[in-house]
Amino acid sequence: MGTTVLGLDIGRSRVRAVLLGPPTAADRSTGARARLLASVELDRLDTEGEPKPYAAVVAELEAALGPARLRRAKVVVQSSEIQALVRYVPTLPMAKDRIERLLRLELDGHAENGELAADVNQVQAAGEGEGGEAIHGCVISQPSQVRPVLTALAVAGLRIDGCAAAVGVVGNATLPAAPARGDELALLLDIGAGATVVALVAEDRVLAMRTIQVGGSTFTAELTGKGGDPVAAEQRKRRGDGLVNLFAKPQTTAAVWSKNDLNLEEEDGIPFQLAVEVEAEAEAEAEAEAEAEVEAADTQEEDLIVLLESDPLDLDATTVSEDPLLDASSEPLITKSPAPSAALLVKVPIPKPGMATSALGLTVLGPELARVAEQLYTQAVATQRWFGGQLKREQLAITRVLLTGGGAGLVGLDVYLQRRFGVPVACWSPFSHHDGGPAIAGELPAAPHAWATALGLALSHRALAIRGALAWDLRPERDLIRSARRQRIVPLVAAAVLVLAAGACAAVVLYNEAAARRATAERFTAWKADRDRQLADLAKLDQDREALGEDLRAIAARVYAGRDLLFAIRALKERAGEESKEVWVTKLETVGIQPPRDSKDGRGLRVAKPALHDSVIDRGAVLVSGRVKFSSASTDSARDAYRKEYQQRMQSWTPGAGQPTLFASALVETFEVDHEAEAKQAKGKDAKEAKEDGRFSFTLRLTFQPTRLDQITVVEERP
Amino acid sequence: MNITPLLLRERMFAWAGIVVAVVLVGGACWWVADDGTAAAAAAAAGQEMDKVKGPVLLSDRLREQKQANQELADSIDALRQANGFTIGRDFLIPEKNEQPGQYFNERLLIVQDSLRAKAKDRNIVYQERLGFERVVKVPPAEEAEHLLIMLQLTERAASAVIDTPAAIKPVDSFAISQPTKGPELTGAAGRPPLLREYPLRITLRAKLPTLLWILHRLAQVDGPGGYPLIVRKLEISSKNLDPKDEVHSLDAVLEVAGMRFLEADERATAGKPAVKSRTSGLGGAK
Repeated sequence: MGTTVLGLDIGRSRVRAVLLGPPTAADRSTGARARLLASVELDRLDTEGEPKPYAAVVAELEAALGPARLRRAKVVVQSSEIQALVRYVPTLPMAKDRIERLLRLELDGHAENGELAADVNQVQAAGEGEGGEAIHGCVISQPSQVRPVLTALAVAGLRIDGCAAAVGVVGNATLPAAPARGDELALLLDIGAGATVVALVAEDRVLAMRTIQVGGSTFTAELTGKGGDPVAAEQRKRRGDGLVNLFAKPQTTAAVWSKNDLNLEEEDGIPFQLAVEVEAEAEAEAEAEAEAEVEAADTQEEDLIVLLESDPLDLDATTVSEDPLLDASSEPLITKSPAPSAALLVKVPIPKPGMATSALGLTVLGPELARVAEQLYTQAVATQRWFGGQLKREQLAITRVLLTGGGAGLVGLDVYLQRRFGVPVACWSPFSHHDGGPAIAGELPAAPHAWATALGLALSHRALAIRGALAWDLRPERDLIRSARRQRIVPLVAAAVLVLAAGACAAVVLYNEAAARRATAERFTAWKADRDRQLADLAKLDQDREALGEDLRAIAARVYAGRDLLFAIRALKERAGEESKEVWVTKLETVGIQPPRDSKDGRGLRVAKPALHDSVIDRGAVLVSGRVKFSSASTDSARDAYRKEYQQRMQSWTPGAGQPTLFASALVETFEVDHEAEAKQAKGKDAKEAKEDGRFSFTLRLTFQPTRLDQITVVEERP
Repeated sequence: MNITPLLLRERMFAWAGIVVAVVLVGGACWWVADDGTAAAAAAAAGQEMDKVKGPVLLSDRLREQKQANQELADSIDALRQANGFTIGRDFLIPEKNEQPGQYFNERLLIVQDSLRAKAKDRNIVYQERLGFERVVKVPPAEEAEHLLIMLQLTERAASAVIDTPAAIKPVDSFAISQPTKGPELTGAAGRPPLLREYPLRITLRAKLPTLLWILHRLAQVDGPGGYPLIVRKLEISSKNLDPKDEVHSLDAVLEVAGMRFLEADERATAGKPAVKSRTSGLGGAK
């Protein structure tokens, strides 16, 4: 749902509110410019005739509209308690901001304690008028009037989106229906209780507006007379009781104009057929009274002219303003015109009504109301002329007059004014086009002509996007500044604060993140240093371990030497006693580790490569020499097999079950069958026998296992 | 149209404030933000740390290594205590003795008398000088200490040879000599010397069981204050060249030594070991 706008017209006796929304697609197809969502009409006065408090008005309004709709709506308000005057300031074309400053200076004289409650709209572009200047309409009020109203409404819970004066917005009501077409101009008379707003409207814009101090109360007061009953007079005015008017009550027109219905060319061409049936005496009497009334009206008209002439507001419109901010030598920005309005008002008298017109007034309105009607006409015409002066237009050809407002329903007023204006005058509904189609969609309220101000208020809001609508904001400058500060400065300051806060948070986050990364890097550096230190310690410990191991092996190699020798002798005995009876050990000799030697030594003996460890203290080896004698002759292969077997048995010997072998290797140093030597050594045996015995000598190198640290015990193991 | 000067200056100031705030914030963020160095360092640190993950904490490894080293050191200390010899009271030069050489001669005579008595009971032939010079000559005072040590070790070795149990046939003969002029520093290669070895050479003729008993007896520690004599070299040879020959006495040459471990300060100043690490516990360098 689009934005809704509530136009709240707080009049002197009635309160009218219209709730408008954007038109639907169907509405647009019918030519409607907005949709009427609700219309509320309330009594402004209580039973005792006193104005109700604004809180009561708002409460009734909320009850009628519903709190939700009232809360959602943009409210544009005007109150009869706010008096506004209108000025027109012509300026040369210039930039908008310069015009704004210029107009502010121009209106500064109306400031109350340095504070203005005014607004400006350009009503005529440069070049449209005869002077070539742009005309700006200024509506000026007093902050002391506006602020209490707005404060009271705000206290009552109404959120005000704009404050205008009726004079400025009534013309907006004509924009949807566009009663004037093309170059036509229409004069709108919105007759309120206390005053009448006169607006000069074209097809799609409002050209000028002004308030004249003739309203419904003026008619009532005239009826009341001196010492009369105002209530009874009001009832008479509303009902037409006691009037001579014999016509039916006028119906609100939808701006359907037909000159054929009105014979305005002739003074007596009015369609009042019944007039001829009035008796001659009555006519004569009426004419006499009418003449008297006309004379009185003429007198009032002259007074009005004098009043208008002396109105400083109107005449001050030609004041030349010199903007101190501008170049003093430049052309005056606010042009000074010869004030044709004043000249017209003074020099061109408004023609008095003729006899027939006066008779008509007496007939359709009665003597009291006809007098006021003529007064209304006179001021309207004066205002029209004043418009021409302000807009720099010599001729303002009014093609029709529209009557709106509560006073527009006065019986016979349209007839009389039509007679006087010479153009069609009708009580006009702003909700309908001239062809009967809806200008504002929705259910029409009763007496639609009375809603022009409320409708104009609503249409002035930019949310409805009515082209040509004049929007006014008469809120006092301090309120505007406060509102602007709240709407423009506070968000900026808040944004700046948020930016700072967000930036501070971001900076903190970034700082923490960077600090965390730096801390991570520093921790890593510290960790790495500590790790390097630990690695160095570990390396030193490893070195220490190696050194201690070396020392331990050095001690163990010495300590276990005797034990290993005993083990070696035991191994030789065991292997020789049971398994190798042919072996006879003749020599045992300890040797240290020898460096690798060539495969053959100087004697040509085969030398096996000894086990050699260069990093530990080995326990050396024993060289075991002996002889083997088989009981019978054997072949070389059998002896070699025996040698291998013995060699293997010696190498695999262990001190006990589950213990490592005593020797790391058992290598044959010599393995030679020396028959001659055997024969020589064989006592009493010849060489042949010795050869047949197959004796041979051997030398076996039995290398001890390296010292194992895990086998080192303090208590030596007994072999 | 708005003719009211709606806070143009304030709006300008507000916008300027926003601009200043943005600039300040941007500057602050730029100032405090990492330019990538810390992130790269942190990333590199993470990668480095990922690389060094292992199954065991380094601190645990250190602790275990320290413990293992301590155990090794304890083992070394225990071996030092169990196998190092200390100079007996009889072989220490009294503090007020002004003639250490004469004191040595006196102790030598006592030892010789003692051993002679025991050897006579067992009909053991041996060289009574025990590898020392004749007593008629008083050794220099500076040699007395070493000679007393060697005398102590000689008595220990000779007693082991002579004091065979009754079930074992005594040695036929033996002789004790000193293969070196003085002690030898011994230790692992690249390590400070660990101990001083005081070597003795024992040449004897005995049956194999007797020889084995002697070997065993030399390695034994006789109660508190006792110490073993390590075997540095052994050579056993038999005259029986035929398997069918009856086994007679064996000729054996033993080189034994007493070990005197160096203290830590001594190790640092003792110089290089005379016996290198690659020598074996048996046989010595050859």
